Amino acid sequence: MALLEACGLSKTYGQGRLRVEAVRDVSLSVEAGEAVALMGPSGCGKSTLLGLVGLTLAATSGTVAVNGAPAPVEERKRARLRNEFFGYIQQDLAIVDTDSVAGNVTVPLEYARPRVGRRQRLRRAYEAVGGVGLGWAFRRRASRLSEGERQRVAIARALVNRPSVVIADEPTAALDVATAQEVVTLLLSLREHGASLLVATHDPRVAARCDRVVAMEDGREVEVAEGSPSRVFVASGDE
Amino acid sequence: MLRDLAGGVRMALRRWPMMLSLAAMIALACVVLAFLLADVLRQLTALRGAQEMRDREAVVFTPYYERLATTTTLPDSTVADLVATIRDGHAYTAVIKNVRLDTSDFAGGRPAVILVGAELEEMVPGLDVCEPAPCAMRGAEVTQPVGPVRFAGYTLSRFEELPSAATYFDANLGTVPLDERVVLNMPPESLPRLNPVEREEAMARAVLFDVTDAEIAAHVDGNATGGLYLVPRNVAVDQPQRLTGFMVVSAMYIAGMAAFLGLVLLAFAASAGEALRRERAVFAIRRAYGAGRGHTAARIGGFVGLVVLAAPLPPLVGLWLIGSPVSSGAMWVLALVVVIFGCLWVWAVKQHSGRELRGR
Repeated sequence: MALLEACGLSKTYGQGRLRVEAVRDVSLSVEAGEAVALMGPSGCGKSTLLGLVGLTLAATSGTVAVNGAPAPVEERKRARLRNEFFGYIQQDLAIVDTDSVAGNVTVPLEYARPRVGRRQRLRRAYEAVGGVGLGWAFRRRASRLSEGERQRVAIARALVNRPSVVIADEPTAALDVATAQEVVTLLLSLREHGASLLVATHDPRVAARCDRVVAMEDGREVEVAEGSPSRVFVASGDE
Repeated sequence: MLRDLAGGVRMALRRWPMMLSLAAMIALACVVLAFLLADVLRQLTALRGAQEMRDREAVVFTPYYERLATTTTLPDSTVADLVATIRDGHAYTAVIKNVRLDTSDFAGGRPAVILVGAELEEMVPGLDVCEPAPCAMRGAEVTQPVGPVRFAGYTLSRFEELPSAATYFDANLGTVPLDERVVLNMPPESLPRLNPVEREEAMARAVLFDVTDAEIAAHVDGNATGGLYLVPRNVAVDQPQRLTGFMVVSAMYIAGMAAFLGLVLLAFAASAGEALRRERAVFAIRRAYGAGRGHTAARIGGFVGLVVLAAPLPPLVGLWLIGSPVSSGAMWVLALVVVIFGCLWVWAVKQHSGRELRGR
């Protein structure tokens, strides 16, 4: 049984002539401890698919199953499931600049059930921040950190509630090569904590380090060559 | 939820120069509006009073004197005629300006008003007079106990409390606030026992209604023989123009201030929209990690509430608690501010949800 399984997912925005089909009939599964890369050109629907699978967006059609059970429809239950099951690293809204590192990382614990006390929240956040090598910046304002450090703060936040699946949307897009490699290493190390990883990326070097690649084009999953991720890039036309 | 509320407050505080200016302008507009509204509410009471007078074809009098400092010697028969007319339910009168001018500690040194006539309660809307006469009342702001008052042969020691913002309507003076006054409701028989100055005012402030021209003429002639010249005025003819004038001026002030408040709120709405757009990372991250619609609404409520509610509430509540004359206006503006807050809150939440749905 897959940890996370999406079946026939579609998402349509707008109506009439403004109707856009961002994702069309995509199926996807993520096994426990697996790292899956989602690749494709800009605007092909990767972020939307991550939103649908991560339950931050509602699908127009199709189903998502979490641990073999269908994801709830009621928003309150979905919110709780998001909190318990997922960690997120978003593309452009990664962290809140006006808040401290501690403030950023404790967010998932603020909505956790049962409630986590303030002292406990700070302790767990400190552990998570220390885990990504930023213990020294715990009280620092996030806007004072470099891009790589900010991304590591987002990773610490994704980990702090011990999620089963971490969803990352272009986590290395704004980083230089060296920092990107560090961040990827850190992301892949999530599996050591028992978490699976679903990452949307343009970067073949990121995809090459994942266990499996799903390629997308124009809102659809496309057929790719079987085998290692490096063969997939050749088949799908990427470098 | 409380954390989100506090987060919304912090969101507003991070933009404090702009939000402080808007909050100050909203507070200022609300306070001015409260004063204006209180004035209009008083005028409305006057309008209602005048309406009752017009319906009963009331006649009021304007006094004139032959020479300054003339002492009038009003005939007892004229006073007795007014007593009879009041007793018949066709007149009432009041002494507002001249009660015991020579006794500074009368009613504990507080200004007093004498009301005479059972019809008065029907003719003056909103005035709940104690019964039966003689009896006494004290305005809502007369908090110190009033000692026994001796007046026109009666001793009054029990004082009922008038409701806050109680007013008496006089066709010549307009509304007379009673909050700081002691009010004595006297029987008609007490009129002959008033001192000459009080009696003169009582004759001049007499309001006659449902009476014949001959009775009006008898009142005017009788007073004239005593040196008090009264010019009768028909309220139905005279009052509408004066009161319409009051209302037009008040309405213009209110419309001006409401327009200013509207502009400030529009400016706030624009700023709030921009702030929410800039803070979309906060909302997106929190939503992803389990914040429900209630949490989001609380965060936006904290932001809107700090600017729209927190600044005007203290002065308005203060004005409300201080009491009349402005308390009624403050109460209405308080209600208005709460409604405005509710509307802006719902609007901002909808704006935010719409943006979320569009993925921006």
